[in-house]
Amino acid sequence: MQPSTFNLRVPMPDGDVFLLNTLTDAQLIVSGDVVALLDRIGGDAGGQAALGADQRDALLTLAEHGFVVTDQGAERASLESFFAAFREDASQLRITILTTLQCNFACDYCYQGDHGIGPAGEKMSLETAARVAGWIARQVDAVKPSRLVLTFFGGEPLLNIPALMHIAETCHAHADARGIEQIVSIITNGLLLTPELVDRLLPLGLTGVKVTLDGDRETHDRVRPLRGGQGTFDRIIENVRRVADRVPVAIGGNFDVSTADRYPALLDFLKAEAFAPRLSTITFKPVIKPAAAPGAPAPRTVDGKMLIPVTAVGQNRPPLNGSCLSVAGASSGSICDNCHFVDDQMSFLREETRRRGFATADGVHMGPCELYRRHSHTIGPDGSLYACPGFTGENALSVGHISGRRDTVQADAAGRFDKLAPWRQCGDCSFIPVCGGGCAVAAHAELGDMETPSCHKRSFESALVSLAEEAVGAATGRVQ
Amino acid sequence: MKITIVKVAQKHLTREICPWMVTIPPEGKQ
Repeated sequence: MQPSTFNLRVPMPDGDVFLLNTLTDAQLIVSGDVVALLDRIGGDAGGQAALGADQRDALLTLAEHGFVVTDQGAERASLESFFAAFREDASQLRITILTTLQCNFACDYCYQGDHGIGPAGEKMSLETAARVAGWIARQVDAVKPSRLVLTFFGGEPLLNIPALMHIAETCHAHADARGIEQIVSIITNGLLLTPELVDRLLPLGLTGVKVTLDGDRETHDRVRPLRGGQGTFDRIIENVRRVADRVPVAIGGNFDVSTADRYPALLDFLKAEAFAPRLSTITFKPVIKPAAAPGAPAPRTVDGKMLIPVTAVGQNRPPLNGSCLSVAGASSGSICDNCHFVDDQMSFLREETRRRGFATADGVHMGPCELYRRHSHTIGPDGSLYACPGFTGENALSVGHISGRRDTVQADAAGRFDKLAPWRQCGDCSFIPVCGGGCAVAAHAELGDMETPSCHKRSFESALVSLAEEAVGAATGRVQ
Repeated sequence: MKITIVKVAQKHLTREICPWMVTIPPEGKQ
């Protein structure tokens, strides 16, 4: 027997140790002698014959939850099986639909570029919407999932409600006739969100709306203005107030060095709102902008410390497609010091969010990404297919079209995504099952190579400590 | 030898959300 490669430990102040196995997701609180036992079997395979009865019992429990394995080579095969099962999982058919690339906002960090409210080609026509619904129906019949998950995204998806409603209604009728549950969610800037729209979508499976707020009123209005420059915070909040008793609302936020310290003020504002208990989650992600002009003052944190400006790698690349997740190799450490700023800010924001009683991502269970699901698709306004929404800005990375035609460039891209497995370069990192090598969009945007891991081990390690403290706190009453 | 089980091993892990990207929704979070 050997300890699992995917064991993680967090020593607690009272001498106990929190154990997490990332492959089985089991979590234990154990005494120091159990940890010593794990070390013993790891260092001396022949010593197991001398184990006492209580030690053998402990090993059985550890094995039952995956902390002890027959041999690590076989466990590696289990890891590949885990990713294969994830890829082939047909229980859900997940479709993200971009009803338009147009947007009524002018966020300067948007990875999709400035599409304004211009060409009709960037807005899904009703004819295309009908074809999209037909393509999804054929996928439903081929995959036979138990759940159809539709996510409407953009651009701003509510700038094209006719296409959105047509797809939601048509797919719901198709799924319902086959006993398949349809789940609908919308990611919106919130400006056009109304109770009337929510009421129309609830019978079609609407379970959540995600609205973006980038800080308190002043900060949000600066970074997420209307195209005419007007602020949007108050109108969005008013819309959330009007729908929050009908549907769970999640808040998503984008931060950079100049806005991260404004989030506590936003959290305090939200906490004081009557709809606070109805918020399902509050989550954040980093934005990276090109370096400031030479001579510009370095940004500072709320406590006045100077920060290293987060810098986009390569001026000719898109600004990280909306997610930092910068470089770092295998499990050998970061080659991007700026990532530490991002990782530390993620930890800070997670703690601030939790402290106010809001649910947020735990920072450990981050993957694998749905990009690796065979039955997960993103559809652009013209019917082009993509591996995930983060690649929608790049035609060369389209993997096909709902018409069934696939040119050589698309076939090449599809082949690359099919074979994508960056975690194979991550050595024996214990976080592989919950990371999967990180975000392929970030690796592509920063390194020009989506097959390279995008490592944020520091962020995982920090989140693990928080997870352990929470788990131990919750279990205290049950510890014998 | 004290072992307190906080969370049991699972045969199938499902992770419904993608925290990396802003683009993934609060699906199923009722």
